[in-house]
Amino acid sequence: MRKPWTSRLATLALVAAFFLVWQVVGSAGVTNELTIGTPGDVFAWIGGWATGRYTAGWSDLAITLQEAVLGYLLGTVLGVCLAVLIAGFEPLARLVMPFVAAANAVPKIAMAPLFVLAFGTTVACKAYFVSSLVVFISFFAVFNGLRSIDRKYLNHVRILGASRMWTVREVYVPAITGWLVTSLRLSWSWSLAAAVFVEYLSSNKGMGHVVQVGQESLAAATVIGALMIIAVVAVCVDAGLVLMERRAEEWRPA
Amino acid sequence: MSTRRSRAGSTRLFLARALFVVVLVGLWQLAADRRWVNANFFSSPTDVWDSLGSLSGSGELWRGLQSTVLVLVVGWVIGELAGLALGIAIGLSKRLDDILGPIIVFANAVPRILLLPIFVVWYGFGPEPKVLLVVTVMVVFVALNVAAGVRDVDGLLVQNMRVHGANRLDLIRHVFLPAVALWVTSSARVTVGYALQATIGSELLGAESGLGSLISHGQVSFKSDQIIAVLLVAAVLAVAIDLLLAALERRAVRWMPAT
Repeated sequence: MRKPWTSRLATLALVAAFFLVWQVVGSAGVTNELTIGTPGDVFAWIGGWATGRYTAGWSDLAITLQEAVLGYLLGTVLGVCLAVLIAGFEPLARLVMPFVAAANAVPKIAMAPLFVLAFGTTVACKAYFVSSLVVFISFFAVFNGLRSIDRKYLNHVRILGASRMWTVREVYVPAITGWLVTSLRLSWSWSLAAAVFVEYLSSNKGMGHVVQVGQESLAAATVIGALMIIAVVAVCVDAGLVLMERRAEEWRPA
Repeated sequence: MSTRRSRAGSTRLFLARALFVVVLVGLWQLAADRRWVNANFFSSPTDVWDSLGSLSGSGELWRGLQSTVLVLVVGWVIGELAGLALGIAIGLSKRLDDILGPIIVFANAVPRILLLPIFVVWYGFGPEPKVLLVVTVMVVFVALNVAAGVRDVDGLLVQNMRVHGANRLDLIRHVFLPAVALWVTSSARVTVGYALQATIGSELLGAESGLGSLISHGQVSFKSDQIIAVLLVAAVLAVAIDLLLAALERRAVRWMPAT
């Protein structure tokens, strides 16, 4: 069902009104403390950023994305391996699962300083930190998925003479891929947030570093502008993942 | 007979788990003593234990814990209430959903924990930016789920009540609120997890109190033992809250009418 165009118009009007109020309040300078910048400043900063006038520009964004993607890949590989190992060996699962659940309850973002201490301000440090968050997401997706594979189906396949290799290739691998796709949006949003977070904490490159420098010099336009760029990237990739997920679902057998 | 055997089995499982922990801590200590691992990252169990002792002895740990729990609770309650109000509104009104929906979906895809630097610029390093961050992280998640829950309410039930003369207020009170209350209880473990993540994250990014700031002091003074000690306390806090909520949830579900 298509939305009525009046609603779309109302959404746009609301967003426009938000920017207008922001501009007015920001330029009126209500208080010294309430530094909210103005949309004009922020967009001017973003323009300058895109042309590389103030900072390293796009290379900062590239580094942040690199950290997020590397961390995602590392975390996913680790998570899948651990899930296959633990789900495939029942006594091990019963032994360690309470500990895994407890570790998952820990606010993992608090581990960032540990990674900074150990690995310094390198790209690897950020990737390791990102992977430490992603590993839990992919682990639980695959672990619960493996547990939910229909026993009857497996028995049928075996009776029909499937080899172990065939079962892995035709049953397990497609299933694991499916769960990874399903958990991809969650992992992605955490990957990007974690990468920027740890950059903000300690770094000399990346979008988080831009935010941190902006905050130190009390430049609200820089902070808001950089965060806006990150938000737009996050939303664009998320939209792409939604499309991908939909395609993957079309292909998945009922 | 079978119960006795299963009890023996569970004792054995408990012993195995205890042994697992002992072996793990033993290996950790051994690896730290022999310098097999990066001491900056892993510290050692004895150092962590000493750090835990000195932190709790000086009272820093308890003040930090108090501050963290306070921000967590205040932020969670406000975030949950705001999210409920928004979620019920857009769940009930198709038009409001059409207008606000795209904005909320957009906000949901934004990594909101990164908004903290802006809030700090506004409010300084007191508790306000932390609470605001927790609220921001929670409100979108709660609103989206509550709206979906409200839309899922059985249409036939609503129509039946309408036919019997129920007005909008009656519907909200007797149909939608119970449905929403159920969601709040069953999702509490997830939402509190988010809130704790946001609380500690915000304390890390520049605060003068709370567990997160103890961790960040540990980073500045290169004390990984302090970081790990505080992380352990945060873990115990997280697991304790989780167990408490799980117990509450079981009670709530027992009382839930079969719908």
